[in-house]
Amino acid sequence: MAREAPTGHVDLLLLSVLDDGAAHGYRLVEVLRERSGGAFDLAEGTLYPALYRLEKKGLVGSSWETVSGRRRRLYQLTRRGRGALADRRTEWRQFVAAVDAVVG
Amino acid sequence: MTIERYLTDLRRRLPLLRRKRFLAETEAHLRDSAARHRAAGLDPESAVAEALADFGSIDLVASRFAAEGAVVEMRIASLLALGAAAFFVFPLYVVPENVLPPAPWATKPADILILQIVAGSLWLAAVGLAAMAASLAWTPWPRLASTALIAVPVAIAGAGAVSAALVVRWSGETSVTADWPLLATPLAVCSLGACALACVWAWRRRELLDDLAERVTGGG
Repeated sequence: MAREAPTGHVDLLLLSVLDDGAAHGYRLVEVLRERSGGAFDLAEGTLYPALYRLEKKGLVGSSWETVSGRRRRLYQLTRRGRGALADRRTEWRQFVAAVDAVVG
Repeated sequence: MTIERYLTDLRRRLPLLRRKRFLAETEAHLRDSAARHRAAGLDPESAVAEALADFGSIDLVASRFAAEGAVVEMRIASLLALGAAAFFVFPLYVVPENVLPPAPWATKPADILILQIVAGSLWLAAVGLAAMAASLAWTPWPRLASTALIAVPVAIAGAGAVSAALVVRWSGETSVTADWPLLATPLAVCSLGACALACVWAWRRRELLDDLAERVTGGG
């Protein structure tokens, strides 16, 4: 699979994973890998700028937590993020249905 | 390569904005990743190599990070340019009546009038371009801002040069020497210098903004 997905898709993927609960960066990568069956072979370092962008838009919030003696930045969806996720899910499903209708 | 070396090399490539936070997150990420690879049976050295490969090359990560930061830099550069254009140059020289000794003539000489019109026009162009850049920097197409931005210091410098000629010409017609322009000139030069540096910096970031725009619109 492609080394990276278009940013719009990465945003949807990250918001979807965070919908299940707060997670730090590495955990997000693990969940993405598990749920996609390894299909999304992302360059892991590129997720952080995407997270920062989502945070700047107010869709994601974050705070430092210390877990097992190591500081990690924990990300969670904001209320606005949940609304944005619902909109993007709808758009994505409409897009997939339209492509399916054409491709067959 | 070790995690420490990767972080050191990456640090050199990152803009200041959020650098400390990103490096802290990167270190935690790499150590978690290496631990996972060790748990999967790799020796420590191979585990770190795998973790670094999974994270992405320094070129890729730094460029992606810088692209996000470039938008913020573009906004800062635009505001700086707008401030330099609007705040400093105009009060200094463009309208000498405001700051220089009263002119002795009843009818203003034509050459002075022309210099005033040219200086004023250049100043208006600088402010207009800076305002346009500052507006564009907040749209989804910040690259357009860089195009407007690069012309701002040129227009300011032009307005400054014509205004300086105007002040010299004006002073030649008056008996009193004003020290105000002399005191203000270093400020104007500094503001122009800061504005020019910011604009050139923003101009050089255009490729990153292209890359970002392409990905935001889903073309990547």
